[in-house]
Amino acid sequence: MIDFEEELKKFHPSLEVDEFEDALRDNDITDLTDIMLEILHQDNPAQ
Amino acid sequence: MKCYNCGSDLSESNFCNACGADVGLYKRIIYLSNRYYNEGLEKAQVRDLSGAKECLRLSLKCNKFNTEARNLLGLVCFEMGDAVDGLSEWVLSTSYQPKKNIAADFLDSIQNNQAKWDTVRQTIAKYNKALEYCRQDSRDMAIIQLKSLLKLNPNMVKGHQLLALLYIDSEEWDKAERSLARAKRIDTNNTTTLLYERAVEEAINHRDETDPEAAKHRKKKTSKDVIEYTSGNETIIQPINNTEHSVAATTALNIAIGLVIGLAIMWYLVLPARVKSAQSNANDSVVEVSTQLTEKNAKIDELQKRVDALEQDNSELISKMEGLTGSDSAVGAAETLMKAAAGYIQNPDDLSGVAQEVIDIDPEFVEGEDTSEAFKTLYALLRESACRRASEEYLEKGLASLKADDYPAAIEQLSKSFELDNNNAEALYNLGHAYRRADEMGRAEQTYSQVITMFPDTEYADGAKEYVNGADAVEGATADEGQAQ
Repeated sequence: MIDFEEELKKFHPSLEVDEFEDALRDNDITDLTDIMLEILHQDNPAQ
Repeated sequence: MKCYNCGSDLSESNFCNACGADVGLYKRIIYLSNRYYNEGLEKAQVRDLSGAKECLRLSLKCNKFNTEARNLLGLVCFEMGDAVDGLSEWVLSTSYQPKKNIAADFLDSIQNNQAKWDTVRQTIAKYNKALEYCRQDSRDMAIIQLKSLLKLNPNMVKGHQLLALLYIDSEEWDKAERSLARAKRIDTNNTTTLLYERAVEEAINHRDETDPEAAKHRKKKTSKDVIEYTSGNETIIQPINNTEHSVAATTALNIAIGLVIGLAIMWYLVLPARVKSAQSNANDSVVEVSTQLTEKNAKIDELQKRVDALEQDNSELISKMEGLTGSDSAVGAAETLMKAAAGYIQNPDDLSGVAQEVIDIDPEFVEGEDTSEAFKTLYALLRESACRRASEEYLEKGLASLKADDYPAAIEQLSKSFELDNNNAEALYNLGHAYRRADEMGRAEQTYSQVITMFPDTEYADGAKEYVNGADAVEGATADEGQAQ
């Protein structure tokens, strides 16, 4: 059986239109290529 | 594909031809990103939006510069009602690739459409308000807010899910089922939707087991309201009556609009032309009738004049006829004359009767211009013969009466004698005597004067003068009477 209160916690307020710059700021934009480059850089700092 | 180190175009080799960097791993990561993108695209095409969202996020985790994946993620988010997430992805996409990027068009289409922008704002505000009501335990208010927001944005999956959750909590299973069906039509494979759906199905099955009547009612309603069929992995629920209703309503609306437009065209274009034409015809008719009326009036006037002229002619003719046929007319005079002539021929001794009739004829007719010569001749003959003789007869009688001192008879007879023959001076003279003897002196003098005037050079005139000039002459005249007689 579904627990209403628990399920309700899964719903979060939506960001207002004016706040989407904050969303951009919070967005983790690190990808695998960044990690790969970082690893390569650590292995070979000369590159 | 470009080299991560120098930016040169890469070949099929795992090393960059320009800088010699090892790009094998980098290529694998890019291929992985593309593969996730393709998978996300496939899922989005079958409306598995949640699955597509996950794949696209993985694709971007591999390669944040995968513009297609980011743009599609923004589109999927927008379709699911997460407008801010969608806008964020498109903004990021345009920042990574400012040129030749469809995300810029998406952003422009929303930002330049104020109505759409307002709808997005209102949807978010209502959703947040509904969530707040839920947390404040004002569930009815939350349901109202959610219904309102779903009218504005029917694709907001989390709105449908929250509404379904509220219905589940209040054990309104049928409503919850319908909300979840709507959510499923937007996003077919959403985990939350599927979870709630299973819970609702279990609850409904349990209810149906305990209350078979409700189950029968529900089946009937379901069979009437929707068609359910499976296409691949999807269960499609299509409303029947609503579609029919909407088609019928649309048809009716179109017909009504057509009628309104038709009436408007009639009212503004056709009707004025018809009215103008009718007015023109009416004016022509009025002019024609007026012309006819004028002609008829002229004819009536002409006829009236002719009638008046004819009436005048008629009255003149009547008066003429009366003048001809009356007792005092020429015809009457002619008739009297002929009667007198006939009487004279039949009985020549009855002079007095013939003479009387001749005397009765008006002398005006005899002397008139229209009187024929024959009439005049006959009149003159009768007057000459019959009247003269009758005058002589009356004179004789009068003298006899005078002698016998019967003065009234003498006066009458002598008067008659003079009347029948105006040239009979003797009769007039003796009439004067008769008046004198009858002591009518005035009339006697008058008669004597008449004798003097009419017969001046006669012995009767001389005798009359004596009676007129003196009273003494009266006695002397008495002696002369014998001579005259």
